Formats: sequence, C-alpha cells, structure tokens
Amino acid sequence: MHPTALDSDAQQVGTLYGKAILGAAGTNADEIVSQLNSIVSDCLTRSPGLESVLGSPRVSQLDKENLIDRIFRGKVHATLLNFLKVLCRRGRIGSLRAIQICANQMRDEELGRVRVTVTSAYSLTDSQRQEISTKLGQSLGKVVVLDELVDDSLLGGIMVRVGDQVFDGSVLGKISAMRSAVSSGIQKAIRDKQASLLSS
Amino acid sequence: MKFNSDEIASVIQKEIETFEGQMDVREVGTVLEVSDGIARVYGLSRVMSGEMVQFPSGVIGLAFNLEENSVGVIILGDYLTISEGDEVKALGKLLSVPVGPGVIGRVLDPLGNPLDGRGPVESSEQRPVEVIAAGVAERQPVSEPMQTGIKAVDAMTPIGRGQRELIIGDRKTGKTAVAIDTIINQKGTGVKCFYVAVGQKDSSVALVVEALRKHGAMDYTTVIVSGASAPAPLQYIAPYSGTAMAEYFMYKGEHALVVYDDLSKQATAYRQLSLLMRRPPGREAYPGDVFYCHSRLLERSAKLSDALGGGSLTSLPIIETQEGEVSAYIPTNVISITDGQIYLQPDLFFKGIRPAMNVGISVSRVGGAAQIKAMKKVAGGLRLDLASFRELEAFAQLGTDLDPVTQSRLDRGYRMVELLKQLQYKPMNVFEQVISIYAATRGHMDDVPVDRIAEFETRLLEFVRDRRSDVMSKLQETKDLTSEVEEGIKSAIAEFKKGFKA
Repeated sequence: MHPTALDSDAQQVGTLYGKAILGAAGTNADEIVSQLNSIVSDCLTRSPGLESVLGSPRVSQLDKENLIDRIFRGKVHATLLNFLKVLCRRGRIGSLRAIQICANQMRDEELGRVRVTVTSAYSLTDSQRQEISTKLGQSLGKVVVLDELVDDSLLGGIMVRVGDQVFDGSVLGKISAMRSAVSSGIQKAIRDKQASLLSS
Repeated sequence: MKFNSDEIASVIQKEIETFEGQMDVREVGTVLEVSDGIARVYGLSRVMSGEMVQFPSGVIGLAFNLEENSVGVIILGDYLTISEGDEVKALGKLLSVPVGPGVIGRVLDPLGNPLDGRGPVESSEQRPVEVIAAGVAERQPVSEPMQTGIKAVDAMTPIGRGQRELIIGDRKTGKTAVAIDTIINQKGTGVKCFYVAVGQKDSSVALVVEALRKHGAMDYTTVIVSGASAPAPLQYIAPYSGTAMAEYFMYKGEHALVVYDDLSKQATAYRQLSLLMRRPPGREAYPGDVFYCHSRLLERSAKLSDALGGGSLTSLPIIETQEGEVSAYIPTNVISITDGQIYLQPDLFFKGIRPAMNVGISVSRVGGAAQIKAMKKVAGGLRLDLASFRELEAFAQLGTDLDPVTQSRLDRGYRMVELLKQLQYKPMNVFEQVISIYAATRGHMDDVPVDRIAEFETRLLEFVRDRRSDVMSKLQETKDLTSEVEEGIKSAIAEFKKGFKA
C-alpha cells in the first residue's frame, strides 16, 4: 500500500486534526510539523507498544498524560505536547499517522511546495537530483521536494510521481510499451497478409 | 498451417524499428479495498465517470462512483486477482467493444472477447459501450415490418423495424422461444441479430446457440453471454455492449435486431452493484436510477432518418415476472419505456396454447403502421374478436343454452385459437400467414373440426404453394388484399376443400 493512501474516514479525521494543529502552531508550523514527523517515524514506528498503550481504553487518561509528559516534555514544542494529550483524550491516537500525512500535505500546499516521488533503478547523484528538481520546478511552477526510491526492476531511467500522476520514463515502461506495440502490430500483419506469411 | 518464420521475423523487426517510445503519462491510484466485483480506489483524482481503469493483472474496471476521497470502480473481470495496495491506472478512454462484420456468428463476452474457441474477433473498429441515443431530428417513424414469423404476434401485435417490444411473462412461458423464433425468421432478410444473455444458466445459453446453429441462424447472429456465474458488473454492461455492436449496423444503414434476455436479471445485477457502492436503495432496494438504466438502453433502438441511411435497431427486451405480477417495479418501468408488450401467461401455456400470448393485454403501440396492407386487412378486428371470445367462452362454461349466433361466434373463436397455435422453431412466412388467417376469419374453416385445424392449415398452404403459386406470387407482388388477390385466395381455398375430406 502506498504510504500516503488513506481511506475516507482516516482522511477526514486527518484533515480535521491536521488543520487544528497547523492553526494552533501559527508561526512555528514548520518546527511542529517536523517534530510530528519524527514522533511518527522515530517513536511510533520503532516502538509499537507505545501506540497500543496510548490507544488502550484500559489505561487511565491520567496515566497516559503522565506518560506523554515523561517521554516528550522538553523535547517537543508545548503546543504539540498538548495536541498529543488532546488526541489521547479523544481516542484518536490511532489516527496520528493520518494526521501527520494530512498536516504535511496542507503545509506543502500553504508554502506552494509539491512533493514528488522519483523512482530510479540506481540511486541518484547530486547533480541528477539538482537537475530533476529544477526541471520539475519549472514545469510545475512550484518548489519541488524530492522523495527518492530505488527499484532495480525499472532497469534504467526514472519514474516521477506527482500527486496521482505518474510520468514513466523508465526502461521497463518502454519495454512493455514496445512489447504491446509489437504484438498488436504482428496481429494486424497476420490479419492483413495471411497468405504471404503462411509457408506453403 | 504453418507460419513462415522469416516473414514473421521481418514483421517483428519492422515493428521494433518503427517503435517510438514516448513518455508514458498516467493517472494512478491505489486499491483500498476490493470485494464482490467492486473496488474502492484512493487517488485517481482526475479520473472521469465511466472512464476505464486498469489493474496490474490486466483486468479492466470502470470508474462508477466518484466520491470525495475515493473512487468506486466496478471490475469487469476476475476480481480475485486484485489485492489491496495495487496500483490502478486510468486509461483515459471509455469502455469500447469490437464491432463490425467480424462479430457476426460469434459467441462473445460483454467485452467482446470470444467464448466460442474460434480465435480472436477479426475487427478493426471499436465502438463505445455507452453512447447517447439518436435524437429527435435523427429519427423517423417506424414504417417497415419486422416479421417475427409468429402468427399471433404478426397479426395482432405487429412489430416494426426500430420498435421496442417487450416480451413479458412468468418463468417457463416461452419468452425466449418467441425471441428465438423471431431471430430464425430473419434468415435471408439481411437483418443482423444480437442475442444478449444476462444472468442465465450457461446450459440454457448453450441450448439457444445450438438451436440457432441448427436452423442456420448463426450466420447472421451474435450471441453476447454473461452467465449467472459472471460478475455482476459484466451482467450489468452486457446489454449495452450488445447494443453497441448492433448500433454499428444501424448507423451503416442496415437493420439490426437485439434481444435482451433478460432485463430483470440485469436490474438485479445493477442493484447488487449499487448496494455494494452504498448508493441509497429505493423501492424493492433498486437504486433510484434503475429506470434510467433501462430507458437509456432501450432509447438506443431507433429507426434513423433517411439522411442517416435509414437503418434501424429493433429491440425485444424480455422481463420475467413473479406469479404474473406485472405491477412490480421493474416490469412497470420497462412496460412504460417500450412501445408495447407481448404478455405470455402460464395457464394458456399449460392449456397447450403456444405461444401463450394473452391477446387482451398484449399491445403494439407503433407496429400497426408497419404491417403489410394485406395483413392489416385480414387481421384487422382479430385482436378484439379474440378478446371478446375469451369473455364469451368464460360465460359459456356456465352451461347455459346459447343462441345460434353466439354459438357460431364461439365456434369461430375455438378455430381461431387453434389456428394461432404454432410449433417452436417453425416461423411462418407473412404471406402464408395472410392466407391461413384469411381462411379462418372469413369463415372458410367453420366446417373443419377443431382438432383438424392444424392439419387443414398445413395442407392448405402446401396446396397453395404447389398448385396455386399464382395466388401466392400475386400476393407477394402487391402485398395487398386487392379484390383480384382475394378472389384468387377464395378460389384456391374452395378448390382445396374439395379434396380435403373433413
């Protein structure tokens, strides 16, 4: 599953809380969003136990808030700390990932940034990176943030994904396009000149 | 048969040399969930309603529901090959099927893939499955007859080319038989026939195909099958794709006939899809647009104006009722859309009156204009006479003494009913129909015992064919019951009756 694919419930919750945290963050939005990203990628993903404790109905609200205080106080912005407590109180800790994704999307939109996933067969060099972001930035008219993936099944070339649009410039894509072109061409040839193709 | 490998190699080489790789730009999404022939897809933000999408396994889907955060896709194929997280690609085109002379004589699925094991469909043209029907200015009134070859239908509820005549009745009342006989009767008329089987047992479809083949009807017929085991989305689109194939001939100025067997199952498939897509259920749990589902399909049957070539598309939708309940939702809908209906009744069927047509409530709203003059003259009052005979018959069962006039009307009625019985797969030429109905309505059969009516009819027609072909050719030439033709028929009957020992 693509990491940013959300079902409609998660999307709705994520958008709502994402809007709230960005609003509350005010001028510190960038700091808070990056801290939120790190909470999800460094804490929740690495220690899944934390999420289940925070989401569990059997742990009292007070214990959860104390736990959050002990772990995060001083390390994250006060607004984010309060936000985490609110999420606990509302039983929405499970939606933290969706909130993070939506908050990032909304922040990107605010700043006119666009996130582009570039998949290549080999890891990109700095000059390639530079070239891709400038070219894409010019054609999209936005600041480009690259997410890089390496997939050697592409054989060569790159595949760029902007939102729901995929620009496939990979060797794999070219080969499969060529295969369907050749096979339909042959079918047509067989239909058109059956007689000459048949050996007597 | 063997292919010349050098030739093939050169074709391949040429294809590769001329191949121009272009950057492939596509709109993608991710499968969130997949179940029962539908999938919910995240992304595809620029997809349009009705657009084709493709799953990694090659299965095609249609964007059916565009929602705020996801797209509901109906899957036209095996949905078990699709899993959560698969990338879905928008193809940027509408669903199309192969059309043209290459589809004739084939058994196809609703996407135009062959099911008869006779190789790929040879056709270079495609036509979108869903198109908007011809408008008012592009049509003209129905004027030519579409002969079904069934005496009861051609005489009392005549069908014209471009008409939509519903065949409605309970299960096992001979609905399909009427449609199949009509297809068989199109032999030699140049009418291309399309039989769309929706949600039926594959065994019954095989029987139909076999019957058509045996009677030489597969030479001009295409069978489109989505059986009971086909996924609901395929059952839903089958009638539309059959119509697309038939329309091709209509717009080429030819004539086509399409049979939808049956639309109640298509409505059920559509209900399943809509419920799974969480569209709100309405009456009988059908979605609100089930009427539109049928009306836009049947509206595509038309008689085109001369400027467009004057082609026509006649349709015979079939609806199965439960316990004769014509006031259920789907039957009333389709009755109101079509230009008339042939109502088949189980009690008549079991009395041996086959086709089991209920004359009283079967109507044809436009076909009268399309009847040949001779038939119009001989069968004019037939429908009303038969309806009043049924009333009289019910009254006579009380055992009261009847005056001679009533008795003679009853006798005529019994003979008429007997005459209108017809065996399956035995469609009749319209001119022969005229002669036999003439003989019955003008009282020439009154002295023939009821149980020998069928024999009388067959032998009379044989006699006319063999000995009085002048009468037949005159009738075929004028297509009218002129006094000359009438005299000819009268004398032929009189001559025949001398030899027929009652």
